[in-house]
Amino acid sequence: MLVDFEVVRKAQVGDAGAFNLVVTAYRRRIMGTVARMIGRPEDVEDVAQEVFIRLYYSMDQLRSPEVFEPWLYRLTVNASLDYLRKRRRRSESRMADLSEQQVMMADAAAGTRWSEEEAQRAKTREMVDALLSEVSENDRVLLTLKEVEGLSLKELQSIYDVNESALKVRLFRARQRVLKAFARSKDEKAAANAKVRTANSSSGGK
Amino acid sequence: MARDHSELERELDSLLASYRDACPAPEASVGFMPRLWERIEARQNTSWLLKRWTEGFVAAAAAACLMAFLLQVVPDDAHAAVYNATYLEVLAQERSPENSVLLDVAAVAYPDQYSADIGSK
Repeated sequence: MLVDFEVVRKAQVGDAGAFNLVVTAYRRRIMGTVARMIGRPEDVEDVAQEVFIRLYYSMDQLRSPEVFEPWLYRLTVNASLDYLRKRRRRSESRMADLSEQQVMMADAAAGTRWSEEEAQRAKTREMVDALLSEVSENDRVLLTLKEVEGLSLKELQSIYDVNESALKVRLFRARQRVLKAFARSKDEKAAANAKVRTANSSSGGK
Repeated sequence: MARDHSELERELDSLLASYRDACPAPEASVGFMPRLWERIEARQNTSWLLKRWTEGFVAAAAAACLMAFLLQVVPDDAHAAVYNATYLEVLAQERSPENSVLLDVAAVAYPDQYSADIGSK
C-alpha cells in the first residue's frame, strides 16, 4: 500500500484532502499501467483522470481498505478497456492514430532530433502495439498486466474475480495468438529483407 | 520446429520486457489535479441536474395519474341530463308491456292509422 488505510478510510467518507493524498500516491503507478495498456502516451493523463473520477464516485462501495489496490487496478482495467473500445470505434484519422514512425517523421520535420535510443523505444512500442492489436481488448489488457506489468496469477485473480484455471486458459490462448502474429511479422520482415537484397544485387549487377 | 517455437517464445518475452522500458510512466502535467477536480465537479453537476429532471418527471407522472383516477371516480354531471340511460335501456322502455297495451288500444280506436302496424305484427 502506498498510503495508510486510515487515509483511504478518510477519503471514503468524503475528505477531499485524503482523496488528494491517494491520487498523488497512486498517480504515477496508474499512469504507467495505463500507458502500457493503451499504448498512446498523449491520452494517458485523460484515462488516468477517468480512473480517479471513478474512484471518487465509487469510494463508498469499497468494503474494506485492505482490498483497495486490486480494486483500483480493476478500475484502471475498466477505464483502459473503455478507452480501447472507443478508440476502435473512432475511424477518423488524427495525429494520434498515425504510426510511431509517422510521428517521428513529423517531429523530425518540426526540428526535433530523436536519439537512437528513443527511436529504438518507439520501434518497440509500435511493434508491441501491432502485436497486441491482434487480440481482443480484454486479452490485450490481461496480457499486459501479466507479461508487462508482471502481476502474479493471484493478483490477477483478485482483479478479475475469476478462478485460476479460467485465467490460465485465457492467458494461454491470448499468448498463442500474439505468438502467431509475432511469427507472421517475422516472416514478413524476412521476406521484405530478402526482396530488398534481391533488388540491390540486381541493380548492382547492371 | 520445437526449438523454433521456444526461441520465438523467448524473443516475445524479451520484446514484452523491453516494452515496459519503452513505455515509462509519463509525468503528470501541472494541471492534473485542478483538471481532475474540475471533471469531478462537472460530473457532479450533471448528475445533480439529471436527478432533478428525474424527480420532476416522476412528480408530473404522479400528478397525471392522480388526475386520471379522479376523473374516473368523480361522476360527470355535465352530461347526466342528456345521456342518463344507455341505448338498450331506451329501447327496452320503448317496448315495455304498458306501451304495447296502449298501442293495441290505439289500433282498435284508429284502425286506419294503425292497421299497417298491426298487419306487420
